[in-house]
Amino acid sequence: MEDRNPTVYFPDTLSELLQLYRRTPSALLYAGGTYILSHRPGRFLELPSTVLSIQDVQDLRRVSRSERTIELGAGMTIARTLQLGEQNIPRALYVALSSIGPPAVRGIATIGGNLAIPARLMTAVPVLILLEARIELRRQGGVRWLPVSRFHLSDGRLDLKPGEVITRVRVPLQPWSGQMFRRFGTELSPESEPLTVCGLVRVSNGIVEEIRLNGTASGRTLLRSRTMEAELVGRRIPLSRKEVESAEEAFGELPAQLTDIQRDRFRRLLTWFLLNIQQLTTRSA
Amino acid sequence: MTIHFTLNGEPTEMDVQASDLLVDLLRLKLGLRGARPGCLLGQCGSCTVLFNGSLAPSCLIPAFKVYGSDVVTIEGLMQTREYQDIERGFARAEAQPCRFCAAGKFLSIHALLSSSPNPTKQAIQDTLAGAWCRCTTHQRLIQAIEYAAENRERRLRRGR
Repeated sequence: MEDRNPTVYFPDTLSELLQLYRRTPSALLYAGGTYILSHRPGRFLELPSTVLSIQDVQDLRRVSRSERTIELGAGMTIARTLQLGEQNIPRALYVALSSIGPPAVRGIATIGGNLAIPARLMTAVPVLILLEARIELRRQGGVRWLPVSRFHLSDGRLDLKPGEVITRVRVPLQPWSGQMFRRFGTELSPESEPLTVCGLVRVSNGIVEEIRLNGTASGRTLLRSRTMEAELVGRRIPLSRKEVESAEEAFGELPAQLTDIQRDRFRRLLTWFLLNIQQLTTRSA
Repeated sequence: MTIHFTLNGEPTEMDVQASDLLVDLLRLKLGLRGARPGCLLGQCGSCTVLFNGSLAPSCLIPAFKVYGSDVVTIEGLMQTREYQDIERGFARAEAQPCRFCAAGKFLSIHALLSSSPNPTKQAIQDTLAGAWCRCTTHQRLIQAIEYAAENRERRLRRGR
């Protein structure tokens, strides 16, 4: 049932929000609302009969940093997260967040909103998956932590129980020697054939200790090959052409739903990343 | 629903439908026509306002979110000295933004200069990424912003 004049609640605290959401699990949780409004079918926004506007919940905007992790409140805007600076969040995540919308959109879009679109892997998701970030999901009387990689289920739904809210994202701060994020096209125009590619590598004494690479096509298909990643561990950099070709082969076939342009761009970036690990690590040093 | 908010420094109260868009409230109910509905997707920058101190596309802000907020439109900015700094910068660089993009550009530049008084070229380009239009050349825009930053710095040095 959609309504142009729904009942809107403005909870101030997390406990108030969880209580309200428990009472009305069908309510719409409204944070930045940029995705909802950008994808409205007509000129006007149609809302369910109850809306929980979470803009005033301070608990959802907290940041805390320890030596090994940074925790971002799910209600933090992208702009506010970027203000933390490249020195406080992993570079790949920083670049990914900088690529979201124009500055005005980043001023209202939130981290939690970027994660919580069903059947869509928005810009920050593949990077958070690679970084092995976890999200805190709270409901009245319960809390659980879930890896971002398990939040989007294969049938397009989100792993959210009734009354559950994303409250925090915990991002590990590992010492990566090189990081890369590239984005083509935009979610708003599928004809731009959207593609993201993210890569992380840790090198010690010229040897690849760990390497992770993934991508998304059209915000729906996640591309990753652990076989390729495993094959590259222990190799000396720079990788030879032959090693790169063998790694590309290990990545395997790309899913059929990718367009030719997405396929070509992904392959080229994969090759570029593998051939330039040394330069990336020097730049980050 | 009734919303209370601050508009260009004035306390304002309005009866609205929760799903009305801020850009429509400003133009149709309050007669402030500086913010223009363009793409209605938050991408073109023509409806930009300052919402709680940050740049925001007013086409992506439903009325219920305006409750308790502080909104500044181009009409509000025009009453300030900061606006004059920017306007003079544009005049000196012979840059003339069109009526479609002027509000977005001026508010974006104001936000940029408020957070970094001497912005780098990269920061200028990032800021203008949300307010591009073919009316003014890229080079003149960058120059206009550099002049605006100089004007602002000179004025602040004079303590005005």
